[in-house]
Amino acid sequence: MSQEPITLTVDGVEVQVEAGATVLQACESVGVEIPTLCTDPRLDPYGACRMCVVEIQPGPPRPMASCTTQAAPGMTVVTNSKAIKDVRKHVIELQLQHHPLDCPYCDQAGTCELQDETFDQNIHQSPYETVAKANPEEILNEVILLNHNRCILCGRCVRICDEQIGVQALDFVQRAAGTFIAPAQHKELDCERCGMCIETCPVGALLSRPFKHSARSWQTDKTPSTCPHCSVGCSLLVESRHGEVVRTRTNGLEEPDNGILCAKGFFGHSFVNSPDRLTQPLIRSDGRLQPATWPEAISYIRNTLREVLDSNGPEAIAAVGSPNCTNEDNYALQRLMRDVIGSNNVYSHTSGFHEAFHAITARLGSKAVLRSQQELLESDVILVVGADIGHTHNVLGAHIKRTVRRNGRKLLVATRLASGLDPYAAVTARVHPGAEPELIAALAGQNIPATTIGLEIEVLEKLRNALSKAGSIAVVWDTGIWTQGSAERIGHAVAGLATAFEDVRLFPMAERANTVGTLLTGMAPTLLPGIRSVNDAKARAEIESVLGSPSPKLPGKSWDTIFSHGDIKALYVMGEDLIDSAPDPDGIREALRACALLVVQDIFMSPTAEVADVVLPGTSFAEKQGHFTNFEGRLVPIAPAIIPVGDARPDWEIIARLAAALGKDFGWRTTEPISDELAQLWREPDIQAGTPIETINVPERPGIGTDTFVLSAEQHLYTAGATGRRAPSLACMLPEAVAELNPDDATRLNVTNGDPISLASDSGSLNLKALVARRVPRGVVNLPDRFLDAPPQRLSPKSPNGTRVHVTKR
Amino acid sequence: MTTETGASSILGDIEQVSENQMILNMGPQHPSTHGVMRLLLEVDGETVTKCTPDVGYLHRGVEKLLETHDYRGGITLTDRMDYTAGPSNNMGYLMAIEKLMAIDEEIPLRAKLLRTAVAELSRLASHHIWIGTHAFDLGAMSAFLWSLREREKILYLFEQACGARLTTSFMRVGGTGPHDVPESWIENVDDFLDGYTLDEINDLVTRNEIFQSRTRGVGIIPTEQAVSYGLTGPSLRGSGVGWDLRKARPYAAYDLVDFDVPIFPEGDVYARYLVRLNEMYQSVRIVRQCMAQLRDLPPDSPSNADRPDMVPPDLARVPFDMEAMINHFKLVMHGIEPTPGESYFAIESPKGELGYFFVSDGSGMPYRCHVRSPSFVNLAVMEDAAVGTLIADTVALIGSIDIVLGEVDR
Repeated sequence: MSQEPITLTVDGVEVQVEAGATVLQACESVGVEIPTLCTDPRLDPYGACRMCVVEIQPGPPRPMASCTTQAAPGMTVVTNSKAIKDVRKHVIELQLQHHPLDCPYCDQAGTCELQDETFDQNIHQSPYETVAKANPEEILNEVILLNHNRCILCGRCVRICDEQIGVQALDFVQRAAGTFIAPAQHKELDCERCGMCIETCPVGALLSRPFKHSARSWQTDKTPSTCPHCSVGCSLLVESRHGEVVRTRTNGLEEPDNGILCAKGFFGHSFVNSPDRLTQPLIRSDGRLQPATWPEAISYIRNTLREVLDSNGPEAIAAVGSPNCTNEDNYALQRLMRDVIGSNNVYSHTSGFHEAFHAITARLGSKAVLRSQQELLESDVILVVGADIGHTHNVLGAHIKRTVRRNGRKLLVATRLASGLDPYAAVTARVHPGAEPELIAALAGQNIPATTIGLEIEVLEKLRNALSKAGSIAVVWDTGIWTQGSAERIGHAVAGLATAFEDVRLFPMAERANTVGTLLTGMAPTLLPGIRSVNDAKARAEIESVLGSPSPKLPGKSWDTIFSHGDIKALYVMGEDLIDSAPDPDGIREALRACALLVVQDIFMSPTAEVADVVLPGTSFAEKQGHFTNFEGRLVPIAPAIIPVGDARPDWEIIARLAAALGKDFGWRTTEPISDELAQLWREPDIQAGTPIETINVPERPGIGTDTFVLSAEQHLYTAGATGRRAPSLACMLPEAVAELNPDDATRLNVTNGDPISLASDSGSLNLKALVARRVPRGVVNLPDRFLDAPPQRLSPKSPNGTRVHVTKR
Repeated sequence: MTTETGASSILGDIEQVSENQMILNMGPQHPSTHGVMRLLLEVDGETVTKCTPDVGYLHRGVEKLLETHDYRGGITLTDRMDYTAGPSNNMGYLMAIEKLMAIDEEIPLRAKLLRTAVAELSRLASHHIWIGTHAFDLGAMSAFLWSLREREKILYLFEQACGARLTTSFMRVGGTGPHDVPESWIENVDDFLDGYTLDEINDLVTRNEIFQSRTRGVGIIPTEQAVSYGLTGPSLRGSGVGWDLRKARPYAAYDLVDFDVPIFPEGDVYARYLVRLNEMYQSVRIVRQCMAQLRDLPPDSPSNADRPDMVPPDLARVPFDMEAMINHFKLVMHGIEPTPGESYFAIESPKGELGYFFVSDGSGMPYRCHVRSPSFVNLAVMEDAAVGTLIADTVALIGSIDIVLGEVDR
């Protein structure tokens, strides 16, 4: 096909379009509006609705669907003749003949494309007697409803589930007049619950159960923002009404989400208005946390901090930032610590990403990480290791599936559990939980027996082959709970892989929305904002020139030893639960109790907040301004959709007020000056490779007995920690803490879905429910992370992944 | 409008400002101010030396309310301005919208005739209140009772036409709306007109010696003053200016009926009285002609413009016809969305030029709505006209200007 632009005529106007463009695109490029029903910019042309018909000369002597007809040189297109208008009118009239008279209570009314087209085309009287269908509404699963009567069979739901999500959960069933949309093969709709079928439905056929009848589309305030659930950083449209977030939708077709969301993005935001939200400051008195006013809370903290400062010095004070809070919030907290208190004791807890980042940059330099999603999707071979990206970073998983199918990329899946990505993979390997670093090292050329990794030798060969033939390789791995205790080793192994092949792009996927941001804002005892070392005098001088005051020279204490000597007297924790995520919950609880001052600033009560001296109500993503930094290092904006609930205040504001109370007013009244200040201090990370890359050692692993299982722990698509548990629309998908078992193992243990079981290891035990899941290989039990009541750390404090556990029916 | 002296005078109704000057608060609770209005009168003995009307007591923010309602939803707010002539207000509002939407040419004849008829009936109803209260202010009790008796009959006709007596919200954009008048209505109007007379009023008031001596040569508004204050309606025509929008820029069906515009050049209270009285005879003429023409129309003649994008469908079809359901839903929930632009349209209301000004930004609600209410503009002339009159004559003057505070304050 020639790449010359094509010239054609639309309604007498000459139009130039690129070769390959459709007639519809040609018309739209000159502002000729053509009504459509089955068109969605995310989807391929389909030609189902016949609304976009036009007359084409030269061409067949009948109306042609402009969406599926390619523009050709010299074409003459007529879009608005009487005959064409009549065809469109008949299309709508025939659709409406059987359409139920539901507008008054249909959720889609107001944004319904069928309704809009009818009105816009001035169709106001049916030539037929309306014979509405009256089938009952079908409940497809926890969150999705299907009303067959309203369906116009445009196929957008079927296509988006296939083309964009790659799940193919919906399909047309039966043929001709009896056609309807149903879960493929008539089973229950067991899909990824991303809600994209609801999103794309032009009418009110597919409906969100949580949203149903809660607001009319034109009554909501619409705020563009960013999803706070993982580090992909999908753009969201937050719809709110009367101070309540009623639903979230996609916002535009831009990167990184390209117009799609996952279950967490679409259904996971009802936590904002949870009744559990902290709505006022609390101060401990008489051993109980009692409600207080803001001035009381701030002055209490100020006075106690002053006492600690006077008696123990700044080194006795520490602060923990949060990957759930914005760059601005984290920057504010570290500035409070460094600029006002004078201590480098700032931390961002529980992050395998930080460890992986440091392990890689030390060996390969900072250019090796924070690369764009574009680079990932354009790599010849994409290798997914460890946790299932389809669960941990679902939207990225969908993009990977799409690029594999569309652009012929080769996908290698080396995960512990069967993944939704498997059907698209050239090679699928089931890795032994805990053996991921060995797998990567083996791929890099280290001589490691395949059985150690749990693979057939052929599979390992296939993987090696695929890598060796690739021009560019993207390695993607989640840095969540499963890398706890091995993040450094994995980083090391991956660095080895990067040197073994030519163009290897590394994508350590940060677990939470702003994990990368905590790194860039300097939430580490040894790092300044812009990932520069505390020992870097030049960096300190630059910061001093921006802030006008010196920053402390001594690096902060290491987190591992922070509580061991009892010299931390005051701790400020923002948006983090130290106790539940710690390997040793009881030990850390005691350490926190021993502090003279523990301030917890959060949106929900947590075990950490329960032992705090002061609890401050912070705000969720829907109530404040700022930015997250996604896995690519891209700044993604969030914006307030509602006013903060109760007395809650934006986190940066609380910190600024405290700083002012301590005698240093930062002068911040909005987030803009914070963003500006951060931008001034921001530097392109410049870390030089120095640490040599060596082979990794292979530890001895105990064998598996008949009743011992290997524990695998990774984040589940339907769990999102404290926030996800409080979002009823998300929590309903996986309401209780479960352990996933292979069907064969379940039969052997005489366990069925929902049966109470207990998991026991050398260090502890957990009681939870069984979930029989095909995705779990035999001999493995998978513990979805971030159920508050069943943290995997309880089974193995240091490194849950690969631990041997006993499973018994209770 | 509060003057400095006026502000201090809130302390009491009367304040001595100098040996000869005294400030007198007339209102805001006073039977002769025809509503909640205050006149700050500076008097020398019983002669008014300065008059400052103080308005705003009845302000409800109607203009702003109109900007928060869709075009259809604003109708009910308009008849709460000049509540003595509700249908007339509805009509001015709707016709301005129709001009904004550029469908004024498409209004069917039946709707035009009905609009003209109810507008004239509301003129009669309004003038009946005016005669009654004006005469009452000047001491005539029976005229008030008899006049309101006639008004009741007209309100009964309104009720029959649309279900409401006072706040009629009659008519919709594009015509009469979903409800047309019942068939018997034309007959009932004719019956009413057959029995209608102003002879009793003439006997009681027009030829009454006391009334004449209280009104002739009193409260004179010279022609130049009337024009410079922008007076409109009977107040202007009582000063000898022959300006009537029904003749100057005929709208609705006024170009299809014969009527005269009474003009009296004297400019006193009595002249304005005579203008209104004679207008009532003309209104009867107009209504009669409208009824005759309505009778001549074919029985199936439409009463709404054929514009489904602006006129909601017949309600009877909505529960059965999906297209009608969609049309109704869109028009009720989102309202009519005119192209961005502005329009001003004025009618000759019983009080004078009632104009509506709309600015549309293309949404379902007006970006700006301004009401040029005749009562507000006409009231301003009090500042000059009252100077030199006696306090008792001020009462006659207020009555003769015929204000409604609901419309002044809006």
